Amino acid sequence: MFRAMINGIGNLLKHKTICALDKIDLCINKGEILGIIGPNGSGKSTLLRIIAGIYKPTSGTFQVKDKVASVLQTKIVNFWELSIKQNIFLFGAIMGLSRKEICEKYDKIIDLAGLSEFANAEVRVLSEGMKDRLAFAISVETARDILLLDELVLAGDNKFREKCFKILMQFKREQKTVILASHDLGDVNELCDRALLLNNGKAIALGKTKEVIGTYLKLLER
Amino acid sequence: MQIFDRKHINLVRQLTIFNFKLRDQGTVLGFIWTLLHPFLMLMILYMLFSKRLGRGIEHYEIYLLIGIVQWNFLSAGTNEGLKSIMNGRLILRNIRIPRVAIVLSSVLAVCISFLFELLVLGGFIVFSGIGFSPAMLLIPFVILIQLLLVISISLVLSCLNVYFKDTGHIWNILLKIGFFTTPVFYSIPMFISKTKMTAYYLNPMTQLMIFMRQIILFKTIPPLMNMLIMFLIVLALLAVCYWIFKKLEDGIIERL
Repeated sequence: MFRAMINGIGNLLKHKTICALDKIDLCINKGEILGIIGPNGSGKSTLLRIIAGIYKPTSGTFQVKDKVASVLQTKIVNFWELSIKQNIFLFGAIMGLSRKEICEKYDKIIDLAGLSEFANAEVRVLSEGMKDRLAFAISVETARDILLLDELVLAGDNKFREKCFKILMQFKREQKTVILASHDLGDVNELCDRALLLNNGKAIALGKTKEVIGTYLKLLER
Repeated sequence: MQIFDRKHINLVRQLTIFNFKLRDQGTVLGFIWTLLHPFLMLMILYMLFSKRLGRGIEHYEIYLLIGIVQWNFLSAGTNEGLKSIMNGRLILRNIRIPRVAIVLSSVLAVCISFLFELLVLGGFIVFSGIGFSPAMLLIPFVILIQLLLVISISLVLSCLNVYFKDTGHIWNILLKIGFFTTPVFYSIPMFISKTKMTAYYLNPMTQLMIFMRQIILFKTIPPLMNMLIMFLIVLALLAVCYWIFKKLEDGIIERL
């Protein structure tokens, strides 16, 4: 028992530092759709959070000239047992919109998510796919200049996927930047101009999407 | 402070409303629970102490209710504030918002309950025949001082709670000690040592209860200098606690 106690205290004092990202040198252009790919634990989410301003880098500098929208994690919208309408108003406020702006965008969000019949229902009655669509719709409609999407599951039927793709292309035409971290190489190939490959926190490749995907596939084979 | 931006005010307002609604969401009695707690405490403590500790105190039920309601705001406010960062981790890890908004809105939601409890107190005052007085115009100032005190404590506790989950336990033990060493259900004994007297008066909750009781029970304006000093002390405390929060917030975000 005494030994267990010493081990316990020892564990409290040990501090393991994990380097999530190592010397990432990256310049993202306005109006670009950048894909971030890599295996689990490669640092994709950490990089997005630094860009979003949620994490501070331990060293180095990070500059962004435009307003950044959130990192999307679909679990957020079913955080509370509130109705969809209440969630939209709450998350709109969290995204920095005024009540008036949320009112203006409300119908578009419901329409994009395809949830017009469920507007007064509680979020917990929605299926996972519906929750993902709602999360995407809120994120896209409340984004200003830069949109960050983390592990986006373009859930739902082909109709919804088409809508998503159209919106992201529209973003590009409006010179808005999108940074998309994803495991779905098909989506990344179709949507992104450039891609960044991360592995163990290091930038392995940065450049044209097809080439970077090729590098990734070779990495996976090894 | 960045929190005074217009859109941040909307953010805090929305979060407060949702925190307030959420507290009793799904329960049958709903909001009534919020009012029931102090009322039940009043009944129990009145039954226990009215004949002894409450003997020399006129309108003991009002005296008691003032103490209970103010103590309840401290206890519930700091407990909600303490848990707020951990509870809000899903949002904080994924969306960039001023983190202080999460703590503020938790405390403000409890403050709304406190205001409703004061309304119930108002009903008791009418019922007891004490009546209202112009001194009651100072009540919002007393509420403000306590609100700033609760926010200050919550800012520090919310960060500590991320590092040490024991924080909640330790704080609640301190609150229990505080409940018995603050004149919530008794009046400060007259013939005690100077040290004990100082200890009582160093407790900010003692001062706040004295102010409230002077206004309501004695219908007199408390010494304005005392109120001002209390206000300045709490402002200084808020500044220190906010500074500590800003120092710790970047570290805690990675631990959520």
